[in-house]
Amino acid sequence: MVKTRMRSMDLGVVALLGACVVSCAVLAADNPNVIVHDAWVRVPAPSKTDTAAYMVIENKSASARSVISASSNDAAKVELHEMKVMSPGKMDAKDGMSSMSKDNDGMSGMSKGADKEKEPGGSMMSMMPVAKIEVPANSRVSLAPNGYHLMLFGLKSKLSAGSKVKVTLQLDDGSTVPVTASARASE
Amino acid sequence: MRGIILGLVALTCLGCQRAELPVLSVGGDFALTDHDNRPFQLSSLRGKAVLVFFGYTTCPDACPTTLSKLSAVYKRLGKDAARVKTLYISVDPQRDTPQVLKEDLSNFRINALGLTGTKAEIDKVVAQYGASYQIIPTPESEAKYTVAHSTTLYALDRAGRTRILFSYDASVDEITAGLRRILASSS
Repeated sequence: MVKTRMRSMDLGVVALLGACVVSCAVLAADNPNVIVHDAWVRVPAPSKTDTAAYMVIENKSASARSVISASSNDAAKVELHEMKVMSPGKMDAKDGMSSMSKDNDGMSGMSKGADKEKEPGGSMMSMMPVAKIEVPANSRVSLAPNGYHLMLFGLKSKLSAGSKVKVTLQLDDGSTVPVTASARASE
Repeated sequence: MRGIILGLVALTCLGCQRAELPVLSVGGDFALTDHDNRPFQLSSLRGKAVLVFFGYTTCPDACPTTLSKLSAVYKRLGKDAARVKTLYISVDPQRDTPQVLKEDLSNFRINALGLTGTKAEIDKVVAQYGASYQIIPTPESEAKYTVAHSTTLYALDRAGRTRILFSYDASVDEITAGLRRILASSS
């Protein structure tokens, strides 16, 4: 009688543990509706151990999703960042860089003489950490130079053209997205 | 009659000549430290066209983008590449030592010198060229601080005078054409 009761309790504990394992696995599962492609990282300068990663994140679901963090076994830390462009004189020193539209004063290329001379420095750019990167429903977001990117700090090995770097994106619904990025030389 | 026609043709051709590039008010000679840790004076480059831009080596986007673009420009210049020197002035002297600058530039195939100095020395050159930068603390990031900086690429003639201001989105074709005009100019 005692042995039967103990066996029932053991089975109950095992069942409970199994349920926990299954539920945890489901929470951390890859999201089948969010796909990443064209992922690449820059090969940094020889003395650098930080670099940027770029990719296209495609959300095939009817719900918006956000990337809220990222991690990698190939780097000590991964952060979400954005390059912000501001017209000269519009930087808010109090809160860093306010989100402003990209400089579109039409002065691309050659100088336009006096107009360009008024603000010779041109647009200011800055890299800032962000809390999340939103991917609208049935849409895609491109992490590309001069926009959103992942910053990989403390690369654990030297990169050369063609090296692979693995990153995992964590989404706001608890799911994950695996990414394999190819290293590209800077030029 | 023939003389009148030839004269008219000559006058017409003179009128067709491209207007000289204006000499812009920003710029001027300056002294900093180069990436071999030697004193550098802009006037030492008399006889060469010079490109100047401000950035920092931890910049993941704007600066590598500009340097990559200049790699393509130098390729287009061909045999004239030796007549154009690029000066990459760091606005983050705390992290960008001469050695770090030299290694960063080694990633790109351009005829370039990295320049650094004391904050006061760099601020003086920034002011001369109408550029701007700001150190923005980012304690939540591994980077600890980011540097917002202006993005104009300055093109100087062989006498060290600023003639063209290229905006960040200037194309390789535009920069190459501008440099060819400077190299062809007699003044």
